[in-house]
Amino acid sequence: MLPQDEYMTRQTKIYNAEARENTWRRYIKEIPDDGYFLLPSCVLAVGYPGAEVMQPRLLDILDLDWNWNLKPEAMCTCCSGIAYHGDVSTIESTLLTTARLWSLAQEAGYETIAVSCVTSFGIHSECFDLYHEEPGLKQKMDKLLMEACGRKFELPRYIIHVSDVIYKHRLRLRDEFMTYQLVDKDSGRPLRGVDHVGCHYNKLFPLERSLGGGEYCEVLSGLVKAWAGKEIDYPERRHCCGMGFRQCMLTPNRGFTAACVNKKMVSMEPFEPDFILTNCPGCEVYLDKEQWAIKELNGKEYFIPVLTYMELAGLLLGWDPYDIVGIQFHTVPVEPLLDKIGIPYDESKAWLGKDGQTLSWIDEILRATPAAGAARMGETIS
Amino acid sequence: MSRKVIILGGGVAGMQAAIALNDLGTESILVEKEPELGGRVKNYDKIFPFFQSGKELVKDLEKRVRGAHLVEIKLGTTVTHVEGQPPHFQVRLDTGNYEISAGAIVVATGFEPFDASLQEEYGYGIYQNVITATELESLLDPEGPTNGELRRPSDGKIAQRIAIVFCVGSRNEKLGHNYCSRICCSFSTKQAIEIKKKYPDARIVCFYIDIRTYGRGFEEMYRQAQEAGVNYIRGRVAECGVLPNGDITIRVEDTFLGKPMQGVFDLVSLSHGMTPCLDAPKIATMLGIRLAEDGFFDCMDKELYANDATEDGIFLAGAAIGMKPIPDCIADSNAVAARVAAFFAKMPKETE
Repeated sequence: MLPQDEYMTRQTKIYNAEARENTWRRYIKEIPDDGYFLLPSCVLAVGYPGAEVMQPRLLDILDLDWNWNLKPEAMCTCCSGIAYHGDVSTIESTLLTTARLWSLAQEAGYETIAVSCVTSFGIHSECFDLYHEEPGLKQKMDKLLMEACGRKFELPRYIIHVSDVIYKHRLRLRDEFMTYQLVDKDSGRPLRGVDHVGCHYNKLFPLERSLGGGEYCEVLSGLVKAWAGKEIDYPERRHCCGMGFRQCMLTPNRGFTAACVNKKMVSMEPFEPDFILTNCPGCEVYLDKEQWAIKELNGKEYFIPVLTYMELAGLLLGWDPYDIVGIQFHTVPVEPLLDKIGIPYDESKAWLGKDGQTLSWIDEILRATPAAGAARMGETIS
Repeated sequence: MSRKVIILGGGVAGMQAAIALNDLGTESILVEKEPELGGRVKNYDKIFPFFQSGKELVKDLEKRVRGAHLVEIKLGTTVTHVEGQPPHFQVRLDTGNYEISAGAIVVATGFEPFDASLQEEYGYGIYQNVITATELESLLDPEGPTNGELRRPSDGKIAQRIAIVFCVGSRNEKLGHNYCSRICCSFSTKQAIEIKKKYPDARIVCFYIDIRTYGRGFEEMYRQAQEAGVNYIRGRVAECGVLPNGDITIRVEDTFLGKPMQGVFDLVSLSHGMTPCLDAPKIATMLGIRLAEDGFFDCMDKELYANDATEDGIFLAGAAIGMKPIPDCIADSNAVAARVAAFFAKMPKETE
């Protein structure tokens, strides 16, 4: 058996990394340099606030032109993907919702829709494609949007995911701004990253909209490699995290989600990954939280830290792990990864309030919310 | 008018066409771009369904074609230019600054194996223990790189758990290959039997969509494989993965049981389909004939004149018009010789 560090990372007798590079390069997509209209996720910032709050900060250090419209009067809404995939709303409602969001972007002078949610990416892409598939649909939606809210819209020029943006600028981030790299500070070993690309990023429109295609998507593993880490390929790499709106919204089906995560964990464990990288809010939630559930169910403690691409960027940029990146919101502790990289942190500052205030009630909250606090506090909830 | 025939391609179809024309008293020039005759069959240790030697078949054909006094062989040569109307073709080769007068042209340019790396879910080219049926044939060849031992590429270990994935690059709308390549089921079944003969304890699982063993002796060979203990599971493999020791995982649905399943194998062979030869579009343009939707050369009439190209005086043999087993290629070539003879016979005397 080869030493662990030799897996997947260079041409070996088991794995041909060069061929893998050639495969994803068949599917290059155009990502604009600048001019992004951001559409936030409705769940990402709830579970991992840093992942989304860091977006303006990161785009600003790159001096990029971006905008969003979070004014209350703009009523920037969710894409309604949860309702659409949960079969509680019609495609017309979804088309109307995206048309309105596009009109907000166009009002602000932007042609590129940059969404931070993978479900939204799928929704916007699907709606965009429908206009090209169905003659007369644009005229119909023009009329409906005007009747609904008095707005006009045009099809955006680009629909991208914010992970596309970070991929586009990954080398500049590394060369000009990053303090740390994905390298073990003691041994110099490149850290092993498992990518988990959200299904609605690379499986709905694998040829046209997934950077690197459906099978060997590059949008996250490209970040791992650019930032000196090593990409790990493993058999269940493409398996869904198990979120699925029908599972996560229906309590009796929730076991399916844990089973899916467990399947992935069992498969990736022999490759000894140092972290999992995601670009989907749902995947981030379930890959992180279900590791705690798996420990509760069968006692197996994987506890492989799960990060969004934005959180990983923030950590390597040297931003405060708690105050800015928000790793304290993770169920699986991220601190062991920080130790490997050599990123300093002060755990006593994990749960401070505004302006560094001490929150007397935080321990009580953490104890009362198992998935958020139990693993972190090293306790088992009975 | 010249009664000489130019034959493009020196594989089994091209050689047999030359032999058949010679038997009919017609001169031909056999043009082969490679430095030796035999096309792809010269690399096959065994051919189906009767386990004869492909190499011996080629040697036999070559001996006969070289002994045919009306056949001129030009190896390492390509036709670069053709002009004129039948039966007054002027043909130029890349090996000489002169033109050859020909009354007819036979296209026997064969096929190209499907590039299995394009069916990306199987990881061919990336996972070293995922190989193609052509590579498996080479491993099973006593004169091959492993002297006929089934040693997997990653570590030289003798493979005991072998998966064979059928229909790779065939019957696949996503890849634009809707057609069945016709020979792969039998080719891979033949290989499974060979493995079982050499390694009786080996576990071989063939994953298939349908088994299409339609020719004489083919179905019997399929039965022989099952009786030897080769497992056939109906289900299209969804993806392959690799484990740290190089073993390959397979995910598939058994469509008889209606259940998904997974397996771990030492070696995976992709029973790849075939595509038209890479030069087909260039040759079609040069000769002014059409390609069909599947990329193979189109026929004058698919029912009545399957060996006639879409222009007079140009004939088609072997895999140039779609995949077929060797006996069918040989039959094609004999048919082409008859069509050429008929074409020459109906030429008005004044054109001579």
